[in-house]
Amino acid sequence: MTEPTFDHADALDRLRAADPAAVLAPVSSDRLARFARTAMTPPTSRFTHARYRLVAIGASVTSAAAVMAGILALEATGPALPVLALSSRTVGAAASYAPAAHAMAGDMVIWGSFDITKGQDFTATGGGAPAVELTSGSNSPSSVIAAIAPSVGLSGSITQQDQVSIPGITQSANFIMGDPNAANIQASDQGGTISWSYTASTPPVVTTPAVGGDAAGASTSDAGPAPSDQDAITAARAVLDAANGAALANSGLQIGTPVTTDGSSDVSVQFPILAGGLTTDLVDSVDVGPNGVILSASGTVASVGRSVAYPTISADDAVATITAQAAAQAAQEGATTTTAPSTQTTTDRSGTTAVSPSGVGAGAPLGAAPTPATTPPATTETTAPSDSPPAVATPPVYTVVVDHAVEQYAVNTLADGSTWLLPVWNLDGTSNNGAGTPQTPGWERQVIEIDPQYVNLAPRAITY
Amino acid sequence: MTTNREERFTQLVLAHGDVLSRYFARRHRDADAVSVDDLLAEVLAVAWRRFDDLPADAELLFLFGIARNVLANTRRRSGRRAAITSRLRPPGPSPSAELEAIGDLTVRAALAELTPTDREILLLATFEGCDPTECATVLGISTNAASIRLSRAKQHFAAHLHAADPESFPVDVTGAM
Repeated sequence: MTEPTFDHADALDRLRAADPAAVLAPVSSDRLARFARTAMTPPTSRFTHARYRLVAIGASVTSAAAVMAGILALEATGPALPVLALSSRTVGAAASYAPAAHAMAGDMVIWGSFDITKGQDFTATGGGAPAVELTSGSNSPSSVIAAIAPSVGLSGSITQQDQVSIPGITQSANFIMGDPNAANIQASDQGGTISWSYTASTPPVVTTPAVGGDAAGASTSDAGPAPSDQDAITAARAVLDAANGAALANSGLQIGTPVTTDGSSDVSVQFPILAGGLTTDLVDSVDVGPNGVILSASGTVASVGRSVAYPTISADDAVATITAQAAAQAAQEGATTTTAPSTQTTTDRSGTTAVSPSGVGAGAPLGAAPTPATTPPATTETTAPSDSPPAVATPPVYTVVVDHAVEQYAVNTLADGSTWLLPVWNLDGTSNNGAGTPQTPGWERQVIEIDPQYVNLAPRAITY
Repeated sequence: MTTNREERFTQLVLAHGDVLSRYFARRHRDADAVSVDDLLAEVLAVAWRRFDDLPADAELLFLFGIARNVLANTRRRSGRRAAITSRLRPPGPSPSAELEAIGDLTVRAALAELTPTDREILLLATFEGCDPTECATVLGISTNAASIRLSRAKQHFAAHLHAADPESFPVDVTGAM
């Protein structure tokens, strides 16, 4: 018996008509060129627990060796260490780290006083730790922008933006590729380090292949589910690797384990930057959308320059420093809260009138002619003499228990404009107000770990 | 600075990237938890590593071979994941990726009746336009074996299409092959 035969041509025509790829738009040459560039990018090292342990052990050994070398260097060279003069005003990422006292910012600007105690015993003896200068190495804002551009699919010329003049502040030039109001990459030199950012102003177009043979499924859309955390990390890391280039391995800095935050259609990935195995307050951040599209990114490109070992204070001393600052602030609160802060003009019991700017200090406003204390000012808002005392607000008392003291690095700008990673004690614990209500989030402050005799703190205006 | 090698690789990707993208679109399954772009990137990464091994006269076929391996690895990973999740849900039929991608239910039913090897060579010939010799290169078999397998696949596919839709696909009374 012979098997029946069938017309192949019709059958294959039917199969060709069902081709799910027939409805797809051709992949653009730009997109293919990006694929090619990505493929030619050196692969990143894969994360494994064994590798992590090796890196962690290596970092610990390096850190310990650096500390020991610092101590030995101190013993050998005596006290002739340079004093670190901190800048009072900086522009850029380091601005928020300018200290108000030896305790770092984080500043106890909350109105009230703090009763600080230790929740556990900390180390009572100091040691030594290196302060590390950060430099841009061979990088420039333009070179960093050019390195990032292919990884986010941007191209074009790099231009320098005009600066807004701020008296007393020398600003770094800002460089940009792309449209300031649309997709662009920007970078500037911040005292040696290169700060950069990328923004995709509008959601990038993502071509989704047809699935299920439905022509409508082959859409060009910006919608889609958020990528998996691992995909987001991979995409984010590619951008950081592009930004840092091959220099990262020799920069003395390391990119730490990423932390992801899932959104409805995007994943935010944050990479802590480590130095000598210690956490710094530098963080590179990338927001990844559907299909691994980079929505925004920012970070810092830097290399370790000079390293100077300094004697350091103990964690116990750090707590004592922050406690002393709290006491000083409490005394200051007591002095200032007896004056009604919003009163522009006050009159004492003898009828003498004085003008006080915003109620935060004595003296006339800038530019105003001095007013004789005995001459009533030409104002109608004069408080009548009274026998009743001025209203006194009682500042709340916060009870703080310091539970942890961890060594890490904080970015500081020195008076000469250079940027340094200074070792700090990061103190954290719990805090509650006078009514016993816990404060959220908990309490956290940084104290410079370097012996205070080697740190020249710049004065800073008190702000409330 | 772009080297000559990098320039040649870029030209290779520009020439064949779209074809590879379509290759994966036809065989991709959402449940594989990777995108077509991921698969394409993986193929190109391998191709860049082995760029010096690419035969000048059969670059696309070489890329198809890499793509086939990448797809197989992806499916193995998906299979391991499915083996774990299968404990949490009742077992059921799991269509192949090609079948999920094809919307014509009659064609899908006919393809489902083919063996994976027959289905693979039939799709290579029909969608990617490979002749038996090229199919043989991609699949790593002899040209003769590819010809036999392709002929058998066409015959079986047409037969199953007839079974599913006798009016549209009648028996070829002339006996033409």
